[in-house]
Order: sequence, then structure tokens, then C-alpha cells
Amino acid sequence: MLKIGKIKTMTKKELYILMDKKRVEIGMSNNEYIFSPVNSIILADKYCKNLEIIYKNFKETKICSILYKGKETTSICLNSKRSTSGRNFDCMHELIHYWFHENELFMCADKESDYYEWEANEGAAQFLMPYQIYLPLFKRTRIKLLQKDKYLNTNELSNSICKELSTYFNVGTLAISVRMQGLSYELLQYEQGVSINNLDIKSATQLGINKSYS
Amino acid sequence: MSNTLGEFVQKKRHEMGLSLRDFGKLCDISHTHVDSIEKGVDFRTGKKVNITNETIKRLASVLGVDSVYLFSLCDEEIEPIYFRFAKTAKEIGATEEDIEKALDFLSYAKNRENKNND
Repeated sequence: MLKIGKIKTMTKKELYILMDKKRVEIGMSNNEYIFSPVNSIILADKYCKNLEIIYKNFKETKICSILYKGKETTSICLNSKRSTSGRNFDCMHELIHYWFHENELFMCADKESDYYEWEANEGAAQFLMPYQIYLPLFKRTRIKLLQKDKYLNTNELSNSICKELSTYFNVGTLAISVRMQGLSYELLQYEQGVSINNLDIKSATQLGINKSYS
Repeated sequence: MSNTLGEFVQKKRHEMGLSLRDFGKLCDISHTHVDSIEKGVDFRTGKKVNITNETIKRLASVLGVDSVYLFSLCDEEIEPIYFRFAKTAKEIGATEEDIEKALDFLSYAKNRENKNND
């Protein structure tokens, strides 16, 4: 674990281990055969102190969700303009802030603004779509779709995979697509025969691809 | 004590040619509160005037300016959480209307917390 200023930072691998532990701690399995999609709203209701979820009809989707974490109450604001599955991701994002970050207030936007936002996004992604389940499912779905129609072009294939996985994990297609990009290094290893448990987990920053906060 | 917000409100009110009372009516706040805002001091307590998020929004609406701009003029000690929040919302490119909705949520959440602390 590194320290930037006052913030202790984690690598992507450390963050994933933490998320997997949290899933197990609250009785969720990382085994794909007994996997069921997470309903983060039910989860938040169970684990946040005195929670109230408020839906606001924001004009745009730039503000995804907001968390106010008081000593006695918790309030989460979700954007009713976003889809139900999109809100499932947004609420999970706020739940990651609630569990792991100390600030009183968080606003989640459609772009990552700092390290905590990276951690909440990547943490929510691993919590809702563990890579141990995502990667084999992604590979199987791609093979299945190509067997059905071998003339699918890259975009059509990608869109079809996103739709199928979106239903499976109960998140928006955008979250699936972002996850697909975020796990491309791991997917490449998996496709080359490395077993799920032996994958080298690295963020885009660690790989020197682009700037993120990990 | 700096009072950038108060000076701005007073200047704009004068430009509009309004008395404290008329300006207060438009904003739906008392003329004494407008006076306190302009001077930065609550005359009943002698302490720094407390300006709520709602008051900022009303002032912004009547003055025809962005509420985030008014927040930026506030002394951060007044209500720093609102200032930072509005600033972040602005930075991510949220519209004025959406920022107001987000601030409404924050007010509601804080009131809920305060009631539970009582």
C-alpha cells in the first residue's frame, strides 16, 4: 500500500482482494456456479446506518449519485434519469465510499476526478462483476455469439456481449464496456491460457497505458 | 473581516435601484437579513452572519447570477461544505439546474442528520 499525501493508496490487485474479502464477509460467493447479481440498493439498505435513498430527476447524467454520510444518518441520492441497472452500479459506487472512505460527502460523476473516485469505481466493478466470473463468462459469450453468427463485426459483437453481460450482472451496458476495457490486460492473459487464479492484475497506470489514480 | 459576498450583493442591489426592503421582498427574506448579509454581521448576535444554501439560491435567482458564483464569494467558514460541493458540481460540468437539485439533496440530508442528533 502506497501513501500519497494523507491518502493511503492501493494497487488494483490489493483493491480486488479487499473487495473479494468484503463479498465473502457478507456471505456472497465468488464462485460462478452459485453467482447471483447484486442488488446494491438492498445491500445499502442493510449495511448503511439509517439510510434513505432519494431519487432526483437530474436534467443530465453528469451527476450520477451523491452520498452524505453523517454520524447518525446516511442519505444516497440517485439520478432517476439513469437506467435501473445503471443506478445499481451508482449505488454500489456509493456503498464502496461508505465502507472504505472517511469523508462526509461524495459526488459521483461520469468522469473520475480523484483517487477515491477511482477506488469507488474499480471497487464497485469488482464487487458487482468479479473478474473471476467476468472473464470466463466474457469468453464463453463471445464464442457462443460467433458460433451463432460468424459474420458479426467487431462493434456488433462487442454490443451483443455488453447486452448479455449487462443482464447477467444487472449493471448498465456502459459499466460492462468500461469493465471490458479495464480488464483487457487480464483477458489477454486468460485467452493465452493463464488460469484465473494466476493472472497478473495491473491497472492502466501500472501498465503505463494512461493516467488513472491507481 | 472580508465580506466579498455582502459587497457584491449591495453593489448589485444599488445597480437595480432597490431598497433593502424591496430587495428582501423579491428574495423572500427579511430586509434585516439582507442588511446583515451585506455587512457580514448578524446584528442580533454580533457574530458573523449565517447564510444558508436556500438564501444563496434566492439571492442568485433575483440577482440573475450563477449560485456557484455566489458560493465562491462566501467566506468559506460560512458553510464550506456547500461551497466545495457546488464547486465540484460545476467542475464536472453539471448544469445550474442540476447543481440546485444536488444542493437541495445536501440540505435535506444535513437536516435529517441534525434532527437525528437532537
